[in-house]
Amino acid sequence: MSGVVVVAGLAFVTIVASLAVALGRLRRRVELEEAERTIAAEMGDQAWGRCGRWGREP
Amino acid sequence: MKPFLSLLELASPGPSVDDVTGAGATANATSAPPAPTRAEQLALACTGLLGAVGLAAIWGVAANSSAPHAVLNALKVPMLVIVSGAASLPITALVWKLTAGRAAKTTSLLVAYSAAAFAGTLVLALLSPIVALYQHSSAFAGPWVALGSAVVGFVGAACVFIRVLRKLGSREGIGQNLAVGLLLVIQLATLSQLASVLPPVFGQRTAFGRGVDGLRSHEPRP
Repeated sequence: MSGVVVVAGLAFVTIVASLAVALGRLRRRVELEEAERTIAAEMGDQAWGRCGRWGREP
Repeated sequence: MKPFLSLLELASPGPSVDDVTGAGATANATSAPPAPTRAEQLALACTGLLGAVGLAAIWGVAANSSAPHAVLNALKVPMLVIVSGAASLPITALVWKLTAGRAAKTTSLLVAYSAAAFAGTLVLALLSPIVALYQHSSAFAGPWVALGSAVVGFVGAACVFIRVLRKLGSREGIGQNLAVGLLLVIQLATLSQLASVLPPVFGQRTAFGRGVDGLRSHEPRP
C-alpha cells in the first residue's frame, strides 16, 4: 500500500470524525440560538439583564 | 431527516435566500422566515457531507460484483469524494474570497459544495440498483454503466453547486465563474489521480482511473 493511500485514508478518517464532532457542537449551538430567539420573542422588550437574568434593563 | 430535506430544497429550483427571508422582499416582510444563522448553515454543510459519505458507500458497494472488493469500495468511494473535496475546497475558497468581493461568504461556498456533494452522491445511490444489476450480469456493459452513472452524478453535482451558489445570494460574475471552474477542475483532477493510486473501484481499471498517466499512454511514442 503506497504512502499516498495511507495519507488519504488518514485524511478521510480525520475529516469524517471532525465533521461528526462539529455537527454535534453546531446542533447544540443552533438549539441554543433557537431557545434565545424564542425567549426574546416571548419577553418582548425585555433583555438579558446585568444580574444574569432575563428582565427589563434598569 | 429535516436537514436532508433542507438540502434537497436548497438544490431544487426556487427563489434565492434573499427573496425567501425577506431581505429582497418588500411586501410580506414581517411574516418572512428569518435568514439561517451561520451555525445553521454550517450544521447543514456538515450534515450534507456526512450524508454524502453514506450515499457514496452505497454506490461503491454496487459498483463491483466481487464481494471483498464491494466491501472495500464502501470505504474507497467515500474517501475519493471527501479527500478530493478537501483538496479542492481551500484553494477555491481563497480564489472565491479574492475575486468575488465582500459579498462572497465562505459559508455559502461550503453549503453549496455540501449540497452538491449530497445531490451528486444521492444520484449515484439511486442509480446503484441499475449499476449492481449490470455489474453482476454483464462483463461488457457493467463497467460502462457504472462509469456512466459516475459521470451523471458528477455533472448533476456541478449543476447543483452552481444553482445553490446563486440561490445563496452570490451575484453572477467572474468571481463565481472562476471559483466554480477551479473547483470542478481540481476536484476532477484529484479524483482521477487518487483513483489511480487506489485499487480499481470497478472490476478493471478504466481510462479515468489511470490518472494523468492514462492520458499520456494514448500519445504516440517517439
